Amino acid sequence: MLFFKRQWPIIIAFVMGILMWARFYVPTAESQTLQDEYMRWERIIVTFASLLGILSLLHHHWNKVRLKRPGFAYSYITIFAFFVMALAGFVPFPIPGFAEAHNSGDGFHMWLYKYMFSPLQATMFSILAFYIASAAFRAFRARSFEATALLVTACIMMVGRVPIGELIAQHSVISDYTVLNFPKWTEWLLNIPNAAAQRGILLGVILSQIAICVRIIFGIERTYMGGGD
Amino acid sequence: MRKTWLWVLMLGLALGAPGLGLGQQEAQKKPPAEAAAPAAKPGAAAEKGVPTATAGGPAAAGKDAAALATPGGPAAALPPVVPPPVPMVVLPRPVDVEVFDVPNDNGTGVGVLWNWEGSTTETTTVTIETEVAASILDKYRLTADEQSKLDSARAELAQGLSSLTGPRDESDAALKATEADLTLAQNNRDPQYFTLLKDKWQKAEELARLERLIGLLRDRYLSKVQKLDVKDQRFRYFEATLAASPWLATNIDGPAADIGTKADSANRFGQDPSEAAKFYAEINQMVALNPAAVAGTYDNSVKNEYDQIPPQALQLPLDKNVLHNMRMVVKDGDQQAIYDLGGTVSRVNFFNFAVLNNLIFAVLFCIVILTAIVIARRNPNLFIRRINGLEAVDEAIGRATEMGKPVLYLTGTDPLSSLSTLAAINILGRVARKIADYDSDLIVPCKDPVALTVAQEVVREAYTDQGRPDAYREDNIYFVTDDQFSFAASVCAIMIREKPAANFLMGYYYAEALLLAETGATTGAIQIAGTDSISQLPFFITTCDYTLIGEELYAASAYLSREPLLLGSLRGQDIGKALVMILIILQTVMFLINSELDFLRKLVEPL
Amino acid sequence: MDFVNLILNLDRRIIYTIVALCIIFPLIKPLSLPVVPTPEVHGIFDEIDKLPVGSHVVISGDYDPASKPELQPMLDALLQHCFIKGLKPHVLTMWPAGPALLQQAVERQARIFKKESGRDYAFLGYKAGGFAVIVGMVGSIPGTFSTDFYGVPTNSMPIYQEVTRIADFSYIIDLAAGATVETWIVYAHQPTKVPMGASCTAVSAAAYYPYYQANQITGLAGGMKGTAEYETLVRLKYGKGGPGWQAIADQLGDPNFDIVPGDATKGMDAQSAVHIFIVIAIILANICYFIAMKREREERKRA
Repeated sequence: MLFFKRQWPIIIAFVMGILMWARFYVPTAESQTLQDEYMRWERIIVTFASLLGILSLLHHHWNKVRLKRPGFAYSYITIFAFFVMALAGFVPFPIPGFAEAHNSGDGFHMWLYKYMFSPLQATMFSILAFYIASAAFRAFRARSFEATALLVTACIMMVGRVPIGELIAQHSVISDYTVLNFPKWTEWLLNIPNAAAQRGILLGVILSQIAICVRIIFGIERTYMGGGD
Repeated sequence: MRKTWLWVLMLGLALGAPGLGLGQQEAQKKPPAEAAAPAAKPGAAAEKGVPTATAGGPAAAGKDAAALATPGGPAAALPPVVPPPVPMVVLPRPVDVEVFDVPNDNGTGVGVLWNWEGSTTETTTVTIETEVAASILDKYRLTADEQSKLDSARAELAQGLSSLTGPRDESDAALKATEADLTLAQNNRDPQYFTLLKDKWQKAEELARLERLIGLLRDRYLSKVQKLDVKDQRFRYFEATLAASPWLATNIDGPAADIGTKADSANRFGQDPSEAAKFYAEINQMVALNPAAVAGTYDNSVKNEYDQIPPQALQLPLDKNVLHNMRMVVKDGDQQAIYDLGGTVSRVNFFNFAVLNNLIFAVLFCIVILTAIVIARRNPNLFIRRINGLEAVDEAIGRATEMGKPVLYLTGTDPLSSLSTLAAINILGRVARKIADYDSDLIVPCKDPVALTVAQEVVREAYTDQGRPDAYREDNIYFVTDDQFSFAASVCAIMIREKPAANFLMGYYYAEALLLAETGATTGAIQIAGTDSISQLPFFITTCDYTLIGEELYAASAYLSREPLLLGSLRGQDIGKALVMILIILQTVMFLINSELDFLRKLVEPL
Repeated sequence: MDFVNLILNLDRRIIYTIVALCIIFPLIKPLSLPVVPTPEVHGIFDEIDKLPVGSHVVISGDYDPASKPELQPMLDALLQHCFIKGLKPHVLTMWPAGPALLQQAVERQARIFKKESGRDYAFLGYKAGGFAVIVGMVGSIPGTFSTDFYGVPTNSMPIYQEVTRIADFSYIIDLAAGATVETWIVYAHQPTKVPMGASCTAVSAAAYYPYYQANQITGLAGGMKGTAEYETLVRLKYGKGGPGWQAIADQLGDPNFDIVPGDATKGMDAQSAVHIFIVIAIILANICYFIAMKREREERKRA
């Protein structure tokens, strides 16, 4: 039994890792079929895992409600919303008399999606605008050379990426020379230092990921099994 | 001594064989076959490849005009009408033709290289055709058993469809009529609009129901006999096409201007091939036509007896390990010329030599890492530079313990299949050990259900290792949702309610990164973030106290545990990085000295 | 509390209120600031504009409602451009929350330009699988999407008698809220060499410049500004007064046809206002910071 808990996952990881790596170098149709089948099985397994997640969610919130932990009212709302949305998927028609003017015949589920879920998602994303303002206001202080460079770059980018930057550039031309050419500076910042830094970080990250893959394939790294090395 | 020299000679031959051209793919250089002589008859000329103008030309026209002149008569004959000379379009001719098996493909590709003699125009079209023997029909011919099985399934399908297609078509027509009325009512602000809208929904629902039933019937049919159905279709298409001509169209059929050159196909010929300006076409499909299309009666709006619009043509891969003869048809307006290109056998390639350098580098890198691990086992005291964010882990957990507040740990928003989530869970194990030691609380809301199960195991194991299995709370590690902003909203709410003293934001994040980090900052928690998400790094840097950038996230587990295996692997990847840096610097310097010195760049591009 | 300390300890809620006003005011009273297209966006527009009539274009709308303000107008503008040019767009998504948004845009533009699904365009909807979907499409699109979004079998659609796989297409463009651009480059562009462009959220735009410089994508429209630039290009060329307007008005038989400024162009005014506010606030905060540091130093000297 211990073999299936300890050694068997490592053997599977080794065999599948080497197989999928070797597949990259084999251009035959069978190699492509292997990849397609693998992807199909992965989707099936992930779907089963979603079931585990749902049970965990319901268990967590039900416990909170049962033990009346702080914030348990939100757990009531979570459980209620979960069941309403899930059951609404089984209602493929619009509910008669319910929001008729805004129901395009797609069903209650689509109504919930269009008029509750989408606006909520958009709201959460739009909070970012406020958070960026407060984070920038708090963090962009010229405390050191690096902080100053960050601050100056951020200001140039913020002005250059909006039409006002173009307007400023147009109105700051002295003897055919644009003094405050924000769009041009922005373009240079994006194309040169930004691209260079991105490549550098990407290179380091990719090499680290290859190292982790080597460790997983050869059984040195066993975190995915749970329970440490 | 003699034997040694013999071995060396044999080894040399074996290694040098590719260089001597042994075992190369078959290639034929053959000038295109042309008409033997200039056109004796116009028809013959058109077939054989000499461009033809109008039959006879101006002289013939004059002769014809003379023949039309009225014989005798009192009036003198009108001067003959000489039509203006029709400009002759000189069709280009392919020369220096090479036909070969495409290397590094799945065996269905034939490549053709050529230069043009003459020039192409905007209206010149090129079609490459492949010769297919009638024996291909044997491949798709159904046996008697298969035919009877197919016939009975089709009869069953036809019976089912006969009762559904009529009502479906009527329902479709009724829906279209209602939609037209609805548009009118909407434009005229007719009070009948809502009634018509409900009517439209009902009709749409009815149509969808009928389509669903038809779909179910078809699915049942396909589940029984799909392979036979496809085989039969291909047989009929090939039969009709081959009856017209043994030459089948391929995927090369269009304007000459669309054909690329050797230089455009780096995945086949590398970055700087010789004769880069030669035109290159890769043929990997042949086209079999619908019998109706061959007969000239195809209508793409007419459904067949199975309620489907049959395709006008089937594009099928070329057969593997079979001789393919090719010919090129060059057209420009009314002019047409056909050139025989020759043939080759398309072979299955079991190894893609274009990425051989990729394999070599990957193997070398693995050897470096494994060697470094072996060395680290013998010498465990490897130096690792200070990473401030990881030095602060103890401080953060200590702060949480003093304040009596929990520690919040996030493993990122990517699933467990993402390596950054694995790295985050690795760090979670180390952090959980410290938390178990300090007797603090740990909250781990997860976005991925698979990561949840692993996180629970990792934390349970960590608590057990520290001798505190009783302190482990499975309820504190739970699944929230797999929707991005719903997860962010939930975690923000946890931060505001629970007010954790320390937040660990490890893993890969998207737009919700700033939401999480800024909310954490407002609660006054100490925040340590670690991500390889380049676009989110600026947000973490401005809002968190410490940030692990890129590969520092992957180095964290080695840093915290100081295990020789992990430190060795870290050393190995640093050596790999150093080699890459040396390559880049060397190539940059060489390129600055002389732009022709770019062989190092070629080393890392497709061969 | 003096002004310097007030600024340095400014309540977040005041910042949020000013940001809200900076967003709301330009939306009510547009400033109509000029949007000047950049070379990156031209890279997409020009490539699509030069395609011959009847060419097929893949548009992958990989975003959800959260990124709708930045990417939905881009989809509208792309579909307008494709329909005006007589191109045939194939629209799909690999995000489960995407189809509803894509459906709105596709049906809206198809109605305006009187295009028919299955003949002039194809809306394939959502397919799970990430890169496996793209790999499948490189082999066969009807094989990967057996039906379109509306349940019509793709094998029976006239549009799929003309093209069956990615290599038959003339252009690919990915509207990405996540990291799908790399997936399209690796699995679609690299093996088939079909040119490709990308439109992404502002936050991700910086990450795609290496691909743009390496010519793996012909153009990049980053954030709402990139979308506004594309809308501007389409409007300048095919809106009323533009060189291509007459032909499309004649084709549609509507002398009043016009392309109005899209949502992204309207949003640029608000974005400009907020950006300028943030820059002014940062400069002000730094001035106050230096004054506060100077005061601290003087106090230490006195002490």
